[in-house]
Amino acid sequence: MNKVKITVLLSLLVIAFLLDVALGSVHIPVKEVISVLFTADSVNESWIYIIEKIRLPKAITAIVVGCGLSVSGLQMQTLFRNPLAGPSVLGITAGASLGVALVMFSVGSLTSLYTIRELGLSGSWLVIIASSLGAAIIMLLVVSISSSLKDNVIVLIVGVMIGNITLSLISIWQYFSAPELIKDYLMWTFGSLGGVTGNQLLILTIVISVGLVISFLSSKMLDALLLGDNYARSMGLTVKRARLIIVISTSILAGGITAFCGPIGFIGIAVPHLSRALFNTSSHRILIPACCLLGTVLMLSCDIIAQLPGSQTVLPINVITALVGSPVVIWIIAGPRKLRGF
Amino acid sequence: MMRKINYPLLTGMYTCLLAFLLLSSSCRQATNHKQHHSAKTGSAEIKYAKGFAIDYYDGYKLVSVYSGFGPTADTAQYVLLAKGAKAPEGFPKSQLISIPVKRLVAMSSTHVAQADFAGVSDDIIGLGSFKYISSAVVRKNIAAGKVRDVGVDGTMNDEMLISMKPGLVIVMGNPDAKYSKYETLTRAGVPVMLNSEWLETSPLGRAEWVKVMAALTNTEDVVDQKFDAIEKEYHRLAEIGRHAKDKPTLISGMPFKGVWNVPDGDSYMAEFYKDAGTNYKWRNVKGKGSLALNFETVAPEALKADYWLNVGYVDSKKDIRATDVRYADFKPFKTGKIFNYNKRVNDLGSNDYWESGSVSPHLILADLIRILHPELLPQHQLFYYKQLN
Amino acid sequence: MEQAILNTHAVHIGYHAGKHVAGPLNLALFPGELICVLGPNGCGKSTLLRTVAGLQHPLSGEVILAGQDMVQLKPRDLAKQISLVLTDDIRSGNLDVYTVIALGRYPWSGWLGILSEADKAAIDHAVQVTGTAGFLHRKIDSLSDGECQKVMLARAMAQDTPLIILDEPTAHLDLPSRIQLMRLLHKLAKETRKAILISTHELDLALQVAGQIWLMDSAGQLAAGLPEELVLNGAFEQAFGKDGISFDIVTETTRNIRISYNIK
Repeated sequence: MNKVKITVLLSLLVIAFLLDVALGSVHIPVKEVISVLFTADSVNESWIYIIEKIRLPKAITAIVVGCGLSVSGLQMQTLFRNPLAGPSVLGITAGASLGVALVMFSVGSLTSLYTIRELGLSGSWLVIIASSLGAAIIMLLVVSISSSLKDNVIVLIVGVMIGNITLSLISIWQYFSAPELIKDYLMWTFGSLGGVTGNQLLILTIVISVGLVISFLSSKMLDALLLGDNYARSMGLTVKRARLIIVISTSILAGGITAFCGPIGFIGIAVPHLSRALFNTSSHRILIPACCLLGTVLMLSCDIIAQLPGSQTVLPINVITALVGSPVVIWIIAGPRKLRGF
Repeated sequence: MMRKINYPLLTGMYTCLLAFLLLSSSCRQATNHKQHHSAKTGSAEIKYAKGFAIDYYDGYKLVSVYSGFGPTADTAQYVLLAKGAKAPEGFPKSQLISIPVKRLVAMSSTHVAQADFAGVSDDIIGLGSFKYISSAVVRKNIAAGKVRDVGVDGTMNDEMLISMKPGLVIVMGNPDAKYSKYETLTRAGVPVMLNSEWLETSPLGRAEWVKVMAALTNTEDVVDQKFDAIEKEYHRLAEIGRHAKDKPTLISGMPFKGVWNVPDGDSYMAEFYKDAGTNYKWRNVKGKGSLALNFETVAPEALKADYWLNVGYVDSKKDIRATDVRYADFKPFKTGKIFNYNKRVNDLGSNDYWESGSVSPHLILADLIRILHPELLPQHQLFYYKQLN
Repeated sequence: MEQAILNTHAVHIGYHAGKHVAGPLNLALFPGELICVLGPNGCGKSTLLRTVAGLQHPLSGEVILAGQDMVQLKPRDLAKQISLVLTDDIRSGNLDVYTVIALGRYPWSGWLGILSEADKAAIDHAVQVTGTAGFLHRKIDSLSDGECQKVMLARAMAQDTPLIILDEPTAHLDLPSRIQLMRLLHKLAKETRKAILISTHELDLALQVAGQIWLMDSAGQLAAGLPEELVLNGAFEQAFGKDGISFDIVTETTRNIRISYNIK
């Protein structure tokens, strides 16, 4: 039965990928899309550019992001035994936002000019590095606090509170900033799968792959944690070490994605529920690949919708994931009993 | 037990709610008309700006600020009262401003430029921010402690403003918007005037707002003369530009995160491009001033365009490549024909293009023609623009 | 004399924050025994159980398990010696009964949690002896309290440890389920030669099925012995007798002791 589901999902994945590459604001005939994909040639040079340099990297980014967010959401839901937990629950994405706010609101100031000239950083790399540093600092903070706490619920609350403090700091900054800078920061918070190209896409893929591997290798630990800390301990799991590994891998996944694509929500909360319902299991060595598959299909679908194919404009990805993700979560949790994830 | 949830109904309601919200955000509000009547003695000649009118009466002037689309019921009217004159009747909702205005607080660089134009920038006693200022006169006064920082719009320090007793606070605004956030000031007797020169769709229209400053400071003679000269020069240049033999293509602006905001047919930038003799792809698109286009819609143009203008906060081709490595594929990048309006950025990081540029459309047009048709204006030195390398 | 599975040598139990609960304790758990820890509320039953289970360190003394001092055992090795049934609520996570029982194989299964044939055999055996075959594919949150307890016991059985410790296993159960569970524990201890240690408030049931009783009182004293011994030497009266309850023994056969008590 699982084999059927996996085959169907893989087919959906391929279809969604092709649709994402084929559809967009500029109308490109299917024949030409296939021609570019397989022979790197087409009658219209700008179509080659659009597919190779704009749509293809975006679709690959969608795949990577779909995997990373779903698996990190799954881990958070298991660790905290909370159906509403997601990748941002530890405040990691808030930390990333803080780093970005720091860079964007001090554009033109002496400090940022110095950074740009002396360190040779500029443009998008500056934002990526600032975002990663912000996420890493929050991760260290949460890890150090959680290592002295026995109870996971307390760690969850601490993480949420740290996230809130960080967002308040950003709000203060915004309050005193000029409108153009606020607009730039606002655009960043809308999230974007486009714009991750070349080296950036390579690095993102490597980082997410590392995070996914760590998560998969933690499958057994995650399974044990489903019964709670006490039982897990009695089965031989060192709960503190397990928690550390899970927090680190979630931070790598969520922090990495936020650094390159901005904060993207709802996928991390909705997909684990969908996976649990669809595959009817709680075993993480099945759920983690399942989340990757479902997350990718969902992310690609959201990107296709965000493109508003045929129209000249594009909607922010965060808007689509929220509009699509929230009803899914409601349906899963409040819906017919047999689909219940938690 | 809970009743079963009616999913079709819920889904239908959800979709309808979404559709309603999305549609209503793009609707404009209805307007109605109001008329006013009195014995006029004359009106200022406003040829290009659509956002204001100045009428002259016995003992006072009436400045009406429209939303840029013509007179509506939300027209803001300001009564400019000469010293010693009696306040006229019939304007219960209008603010009274004593003229000539001394002690001016300006919230935007354009207002500073207008004051400079009228020769009254020495009267500026307050600014929204010290970071965005190029005027030499005002900078000298800041250094001498004669100008106060009153906070950017939205976080203005009301108490400080009231205690400064300014003759007028000029803010950027839209007359359709609510006045309520300035109520504290107006009720304390501090007049607040909304300027909406940024809504003008033509370069001369934008510059013509200096006439409002002229009316406020009784400098109409000087200002009208200067403006006429600029107007003449602008038209002379536009003739040259529009009759250029070949019209190069260009792209404008810098994309961000997959969205490329380009000026549409209703923006003053598009008019600049038309007068400078170019083939601008979106010159006929009607809109609110800029189009938010998908990166992939603009990219095909960028790959073939002759010039790339107005690239924002970058200063070199290296910066552009660092922003996104794909921009290096654009033709203007490869041929080096990238020009940015950041030549006059001072040590504070503020760009005079946004200040004096707003009242010097002839200089901007000259720059553009020099860039796009170097052979037509060989003597002109670029003033606001520079080539990026 | 069989080798004890677990010994305590002069162990003092309590909290490191300063509270000494009981001690010195010299106790032993033997294979095939069902030991019940009894005592009034607050006397330290939980503390004793947690210390014996390795969940907290004794204030002093050693707990010897599998020939080693327990504090030196790695968590995984400890897990192969002792399994627990707690009062924790585990009814979340979309878990089905088989998965919960299979988790008992955690210390033995492969690095991804894949079950070997030996693992599956141990699970099947656990299912069989606890009588949980009937609801293997149901979700945990659809079970009654009694069924759920059986499942948690099956999980502990699947962990295949010489010692199983249960904390108040009969709490929340109705009378038939309580009797059933205690009987099951007694049977399992005898048939599988495991030592089973439980804390409970079920005086009469405990006295009927326990091989050993550890009776604690509020003063931190612990009396260990056969049920009838503790009744006859007045230990019960001392531990519980403060509220006007008197204990009588009715011996029906040499192997059957009933306690009756009067509320004055």
